[in-house]
Amino acid sequence: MRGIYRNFIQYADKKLASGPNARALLYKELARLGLSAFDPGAKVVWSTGYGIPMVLYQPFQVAPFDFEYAGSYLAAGGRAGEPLSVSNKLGYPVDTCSVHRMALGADELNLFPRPDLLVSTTHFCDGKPKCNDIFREKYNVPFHLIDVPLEKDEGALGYLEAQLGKVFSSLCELAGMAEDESVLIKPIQNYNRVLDLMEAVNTLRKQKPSPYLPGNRCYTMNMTGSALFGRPELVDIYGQFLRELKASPREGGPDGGEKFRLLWLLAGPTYPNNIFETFKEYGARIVAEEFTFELMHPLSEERPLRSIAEWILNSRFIRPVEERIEAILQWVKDYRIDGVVSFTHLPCRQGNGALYWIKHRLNERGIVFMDLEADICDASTFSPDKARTAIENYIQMMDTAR
Amino acid sequence: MKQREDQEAMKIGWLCSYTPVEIPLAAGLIPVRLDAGDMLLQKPNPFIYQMLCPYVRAVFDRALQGGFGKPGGVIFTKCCDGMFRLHDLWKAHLPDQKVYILPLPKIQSKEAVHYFAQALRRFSESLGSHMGIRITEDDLREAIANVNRLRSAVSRLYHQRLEKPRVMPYSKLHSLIRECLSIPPEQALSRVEKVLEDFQNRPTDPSVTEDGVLVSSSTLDQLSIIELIEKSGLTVLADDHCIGLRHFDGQVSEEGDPYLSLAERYLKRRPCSRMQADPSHLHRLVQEVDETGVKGLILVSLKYCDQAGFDVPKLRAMLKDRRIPMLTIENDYTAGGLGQLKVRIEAFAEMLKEEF
Repeated sequence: MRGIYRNFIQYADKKLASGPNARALLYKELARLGLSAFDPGAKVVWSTGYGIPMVLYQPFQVAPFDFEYAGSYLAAGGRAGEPLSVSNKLGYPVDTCSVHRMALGADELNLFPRPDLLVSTTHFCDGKPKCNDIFREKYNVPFHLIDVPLEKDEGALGYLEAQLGKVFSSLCELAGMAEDESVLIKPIQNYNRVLDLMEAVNTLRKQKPSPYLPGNRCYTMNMTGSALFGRPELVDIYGQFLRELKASPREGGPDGGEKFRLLWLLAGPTYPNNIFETFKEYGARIVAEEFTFELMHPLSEERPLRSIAEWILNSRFIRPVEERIEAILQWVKDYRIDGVVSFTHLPCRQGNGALYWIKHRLNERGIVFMDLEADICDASTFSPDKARTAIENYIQMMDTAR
Repeated sequence: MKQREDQEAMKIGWLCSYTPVEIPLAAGLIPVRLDAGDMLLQKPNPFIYQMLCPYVRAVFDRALQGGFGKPGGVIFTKCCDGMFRLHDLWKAHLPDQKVYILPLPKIQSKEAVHYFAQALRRFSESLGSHMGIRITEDDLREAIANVNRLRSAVSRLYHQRLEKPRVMPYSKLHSLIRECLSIPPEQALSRVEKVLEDFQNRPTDPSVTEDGVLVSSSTLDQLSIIELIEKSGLTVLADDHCIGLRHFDGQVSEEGDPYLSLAERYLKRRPCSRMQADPSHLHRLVQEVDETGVKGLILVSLKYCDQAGFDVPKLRAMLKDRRIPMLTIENDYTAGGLGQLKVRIEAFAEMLKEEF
């Protein structure tokens, strides 16, 4: 991982030599945080960036680390082969999520910083708590598995808040700090400022045509950025991102101009691929993505832990799929979407289990849906030709549907 | 026809072993476990994702074919990703069936027990409201007592069978259990007690442990797989799956708040692999291996079951420490899969015989 983070810094410094660049600033900050976890005496908390807002960890002198994100960075850096192979040799099933297989394999190769505390949640998928349990046993460190309730009522909030309270106590103990929820106020303020900027970005993207963004840029900015939620540096990074977006062409642009507006569901590939280049050839712009909305819920300074509980419960992946479908339909309307692309990470049962019903409900409203089968980390299953054919067919479908 | 429809409406389907069947029993319903039996996945189903648990897919196939009739409802728990999506698809494609979904904490803290108890109380109110009745705490206590008696009887049967496994092959025990999970507990108790009576008159079998194995799985409905194991010459002495002994583990306290008692029992009973328990599912499983003296373990892993899949390396290591051989076979609910299982089971049986 240290090598990956140093590469981030190299990339960032090179880019920043020509002027401010949001992505470069983001990667530099991520790398700084990531490398700090390897410092002697560093206190490291393994957590989940999209499951629990990282705001929770900012007041403490700890380095939050997300093993799923780290696995993705390794895959993006062309280093997926060895961890996946190690995971297979250890006996983990090959048909389970490659993100988790990456994490298990990379950890076995001692690529990750040693944790002092593990914090995770039960929502999103079965694999994450299981991986955490494996790590708990290996490292013999405390593990808070936050059991996320099914409902979103007062009882559920109370239950979740009580669990977050225990995590907060553990963090205070780890950092040698007195328990005082008000330490979360500053990180919450920073997050809310970033949220305002993310809203401003979204407002720009709602325009028709939307400003050009390469590939799945907003998804990667937001997902990787979530690791820094609560840090003041992220405010500047998003400020820069917004400036870049404002300056980006709406008419014309590297893709020849917007012809189709896409909503992107779930995750994305971390390895080099031709998916976004192919979309670009046909002027198909991703103007909104589901995971961005997953990360965007305001936090309150009044009752920080309660507010974080609300943030978690706002996830559309906790309750029955109809809630997710209603949200998708609303985004289709708000962003004037021509087509919805589901990145069907094959082993993702929670994301894809009801995929055909989602498709059916969208088709009922005349919305053209694409089931883009690929893997997040494992490039061995990816076929550029197949992806191109599928995308070209989809473009035709969208064109016909107009 | 109407009478048959009325009878069916008095049934309520359930799938997950953590379903508190006492509540529908208290409402006067008959909880019926939904399974696909030995049904195989033969045709692609355009409504359900292919890389999903084959048990879930098989049950869904059967439901769409009308294989479960028209029960008065179906109770789901949010026990795993596959089951949760099955709930979504059931609601979507079988809209005339009333569907309930219960949360299921993965942890056993005091707060989790209280939260689950509240959820069970709400479920009870919702079920009662749908039926136009009020489920009283007395009704619930009576149902609890009945199910407790059944649990106790089944546990005794398992323990007695350990000494005399040839009196009742595991395939017969498995069939009896599956029957018991779909009839009122009083009837189930009567059947189990009849078998227990028969056991009492039979001598202990001293050669019993020579070829004894434990069969572990997420859920194991398919008699065909069990028969393959028995035909290979192995004796299944113990089990660890959702319709085996662990389903009957632990009693619900008959004192105090019945919802709290239900929550306590269900969250703290012998766990399955989805629970984050202490002692863990794996530790309890290995304890069972130690206590029963089995010579090997057969893990019938459901394809795409992430819960169980992540456990395999750790389980293998724990059994290796005890010098207990383990066979992992993948059950994908296909005919071709069964053929492969036969070969692997027979080879494992040969290996065990040579070793012991």
